[in-house]
Amino acid sequence: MTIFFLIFLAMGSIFTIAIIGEAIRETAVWFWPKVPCTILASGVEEIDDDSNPYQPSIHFSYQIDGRDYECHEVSRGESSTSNYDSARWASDRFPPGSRTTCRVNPDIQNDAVLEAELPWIGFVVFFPLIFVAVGGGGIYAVWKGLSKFDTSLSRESISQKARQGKNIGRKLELGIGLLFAAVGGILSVFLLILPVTRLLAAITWEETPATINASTVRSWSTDDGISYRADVLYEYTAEGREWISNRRSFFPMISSGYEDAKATVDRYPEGSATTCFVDTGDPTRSTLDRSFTAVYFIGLFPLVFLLAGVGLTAHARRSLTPSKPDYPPSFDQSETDSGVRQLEPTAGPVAKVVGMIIFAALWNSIVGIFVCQAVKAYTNGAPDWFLMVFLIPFVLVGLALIFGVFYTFLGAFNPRPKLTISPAAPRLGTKLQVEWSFRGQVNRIESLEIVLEGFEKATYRRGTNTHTDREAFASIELVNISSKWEIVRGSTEVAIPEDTMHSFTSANNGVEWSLYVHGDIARWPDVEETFEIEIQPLSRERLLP
Amino acid sequence: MCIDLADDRRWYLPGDSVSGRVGWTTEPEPEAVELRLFWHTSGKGTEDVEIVDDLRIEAPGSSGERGFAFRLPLGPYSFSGSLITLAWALELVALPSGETERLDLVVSPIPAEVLLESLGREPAGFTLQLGPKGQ
Repeated sequence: MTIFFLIFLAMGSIFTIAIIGEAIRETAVWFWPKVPCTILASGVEEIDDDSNPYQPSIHFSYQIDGRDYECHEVSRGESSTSNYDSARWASDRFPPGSRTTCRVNPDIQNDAVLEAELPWIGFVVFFPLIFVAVGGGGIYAVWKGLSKFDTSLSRESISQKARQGKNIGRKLELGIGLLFAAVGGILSVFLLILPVTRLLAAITWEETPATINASTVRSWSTDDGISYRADVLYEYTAEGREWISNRRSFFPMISSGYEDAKATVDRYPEGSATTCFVDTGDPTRSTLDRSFTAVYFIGLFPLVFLLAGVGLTAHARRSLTPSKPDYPPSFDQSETDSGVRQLEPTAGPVAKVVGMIIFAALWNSIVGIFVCQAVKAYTNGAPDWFLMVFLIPFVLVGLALIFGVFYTFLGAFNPRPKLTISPAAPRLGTKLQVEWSFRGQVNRIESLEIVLEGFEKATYRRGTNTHTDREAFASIELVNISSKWEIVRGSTEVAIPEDTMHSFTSANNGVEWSLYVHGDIARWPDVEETFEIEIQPLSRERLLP
Repeated sequence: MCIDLADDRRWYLPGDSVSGRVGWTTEPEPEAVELRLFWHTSGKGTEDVEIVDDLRIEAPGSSGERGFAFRLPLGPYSFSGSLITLAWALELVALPSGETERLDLVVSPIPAEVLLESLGREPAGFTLQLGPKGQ
């Protein structure tokens, strides 16, 4: 395990150092002296790189100590792009003959750039940092576990764990959670929010005649083989000027199979007339296609990272927060006993449906990509049998989740139980009165059961995963009726046992009490709601009369 | 190091007070000794430890003794279930060496830890097994 995590740590560290080095190199330009310069020529040039074939070409000259120098680098970072518009925007900012300033390397006088850029590449460091976190965290967890085993033979202080080291694991979890949330958040902005908002904005763009200047299938080598992309350059006229662009989608560049790329190129043959859509407020912005396609669903992937990160962060924060009151502070306040409390279900029907939809959508969109790949391979006459067999259980789970969406959706139309308890904060050894009623078509319920349940809850780590086990220790039936007029509304009373455990919550362990309501509806999802209640210890008066 | 309870008992009611004397003879001389009243969990879940109250004696000398009195809270109880066991204890710790003396306590409304065993399914007539495990 240590070697496995070491590889993660080493790979992550190498890439982290490389990215930080590049970010430092880009940042250094901000400290280079500014020198006046003249733009000699500017435009967009096509280079011999199919993955990023366009780059702004800007030649400028400057003088140092009476000697003339010429350079053509816009900035220190990568300037070639697959997006023609990006290259054109850069070159348009420096028209030929204009005067501006460049930044000259104080050590090498013929090394100059037109502008210093923020070291955006630094944000990429989050990716290798995930590897560093997994590797470092894994090694820590492995060796911490071993050291605990080694010292368990000697008499060690248990309470010392509360003083030191208790929160290290949680802090690590918090760090990983924040990292995942940051990566997921940033990717969601670029892959989901920006593409979709731009697509929506393009609905109002003006339909404009355009001519296809060039239409080619670009190809380049990647780790997974050769990637293909259709590159269609089109020309249109707006505000008295001719513009060239190659935008066909608002989703960042993505490769496709050769057949798809070829089909696109065939649809837009060179020299043909077509229409594009131009932003009337800014004619530099246009697109050949503003339809919503399946590619935009890829933007849902970062949401998985974001949700996982938010979940981990919330869990770690919750665990780190309770430094002292790990049991309810009201333990010592007898006045909290009285009163009536209306209970809220642990999860409402809308939350259940939304949660189910999100989970089913995420699962099926991920599985769907592989299914599409398998189907495409099959229709192309080269079926990937291994992939197809491998996908079967995942597809079945996906289907079950879709069924689950419908089930919870139907369940959302069920009559809703309302429970009221008295006293509001019951104690062990006291009587608890429970009143129930329903909203909705209660006459559909054929039998009703209300059970007071007690659970132990233990959270533990197995490898890198966190598990929570629940074990019921109490299941006290309060109501079990099938008379329709009794089901509508009623109340019951139960004596809470004196010699059991009260509600208790700590970072990893707990005892929970809840009221479980089950209404049986024929040929329809049953009513099932859980209402958590807090049962307090015996009062001081009762213990120490 | 030793912890002596005033009434020489190990079972306390929640809300009760725990008092007694602690003594230490340690070499080298500790910077401080701490008496901690705490509970901790064991079992399937990751261990939780919570210090409820403590008494810190700075520069205590290499030997000495001191009286103490703590008030127990009303919960959590000492209990044992199929996943979790929660136990109370007093610990006397010499710092920074970490030399430790521990005394286990039971904090419960009954003279034993509460056992979480099957309660119910019937509305009435369920039975509770009280007392320590195995008895």
